[in-house]
Amino acid sequence: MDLDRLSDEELIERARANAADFAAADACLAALYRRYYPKVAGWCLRISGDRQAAADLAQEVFLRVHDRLDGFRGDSRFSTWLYTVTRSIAINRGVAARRRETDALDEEGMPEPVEPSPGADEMTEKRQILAAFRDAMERDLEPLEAKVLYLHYVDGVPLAGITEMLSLQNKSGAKAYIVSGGRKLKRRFGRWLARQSAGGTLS
Amino acid sequence: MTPPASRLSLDEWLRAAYADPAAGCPPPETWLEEELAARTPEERRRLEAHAAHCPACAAERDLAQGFDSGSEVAGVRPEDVAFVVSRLEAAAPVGNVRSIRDGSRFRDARLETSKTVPVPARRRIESSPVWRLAAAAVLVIAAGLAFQLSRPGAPPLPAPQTGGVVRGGEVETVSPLGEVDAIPAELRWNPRPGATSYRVRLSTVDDTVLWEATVPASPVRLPAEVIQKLHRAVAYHWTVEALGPAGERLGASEPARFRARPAPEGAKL
Repeated sequence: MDLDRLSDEELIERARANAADFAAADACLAALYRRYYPKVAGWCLRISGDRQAAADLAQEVFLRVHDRLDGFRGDSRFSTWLYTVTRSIAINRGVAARRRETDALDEEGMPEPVEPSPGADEMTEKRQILAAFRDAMERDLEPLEAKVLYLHYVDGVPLAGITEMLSLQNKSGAKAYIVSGGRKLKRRFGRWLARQSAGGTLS
Repeated sequence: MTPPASRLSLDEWLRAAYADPAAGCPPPETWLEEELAARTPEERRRLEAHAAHCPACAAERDLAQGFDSGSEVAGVRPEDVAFVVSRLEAAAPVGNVRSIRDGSRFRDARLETSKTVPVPARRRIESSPVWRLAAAAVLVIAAGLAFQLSRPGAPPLPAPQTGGVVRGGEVETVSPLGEVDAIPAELRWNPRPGATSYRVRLSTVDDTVLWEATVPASPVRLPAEVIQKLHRAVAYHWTVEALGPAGERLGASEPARFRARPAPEGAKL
């Protein structure tokens, strides 16, 4: 049987059917994973901007996939599920790394917006603030600035990875967009915070 | 309006803003080529219209397209791809399927040993001293596991993450786990001896906390406003910490994941 001719889902099904035969199950899973090595490697390289980090990330992806494969029920394509796993791990690693590093924007005195209290009665207020952030991202920032801020702050993609991924040709790459977009947010939310602190309302 | 007291950093605000259901963004995997191809032209048009003004979805579309591009991504050198692939082949996780209880799931003995040091592929065991050491460690663990399982009254093998119980942590989560039919209304776990309360946390996959509470016992019902924030087809994590009489931490669960299956067509963006 040429395993490479089977679909992803057929390989998983065959591995499960060969549950008692470790070698046969392994062969199916090896064929399945090998099929996606280049794709995951390319994606990890793209967002890591560093091949050692990409290798570590890709390795963690397949370990997680192997660990969680029993939870894959075929409600989506395997490739879709693989992407969600890959993205999730990358984001968690990226966000964690970002939290550890000293952020240049903090050094420039970026505002730390005020968090609303978590009480249920303030849920509406929090939604207004969150909506104001989204609105600022869409209206106050250039699309490229907003995209870079999102990739860096929300998805945790390193600046080098964003520069590579978006083919940014300027000298400082993604950093320039982080700084310019961050300043715009500072202007808008700086004013807003001042008004709110003085008892004003959301604009 | 009273000014709130605590502060969030910019990235925390942005993550919360785009995790907010009001953002109206589709799941990130929506932008994969195969997923888009499965939608109607009208649905694709609406998605593109959304991405045209939503920086989050524009970014997620870029990420997904990068995945679709495979190893032929602009700016990625073939030799770097070959390097990463060679690392993957050397660290292939297969070869470690140790037991399959009912034919519907897989368990391996790998992750309990290390999150970062993979079990080597067999051919590498023969060629590398490092891998020989790692293989020896795995053999010792496997032998120990086999010994444990051969003893009368040995503990059962871990249950699957989908349904059942997630073991491995110090508190066992029960439900919801894995793919579920509906957005859950409560969280359920097994009690831990000595615990007088539990701190429960529900978060998005990027660790944005949606809800946190300290409760006396399992189960706990999710507040209505929290349930309203949960979306179908989106994965969430939850954890439980067991607390002692003085509020001291007795143990915690491993992160449990669940996702409500997507609603029928027409209910999506």
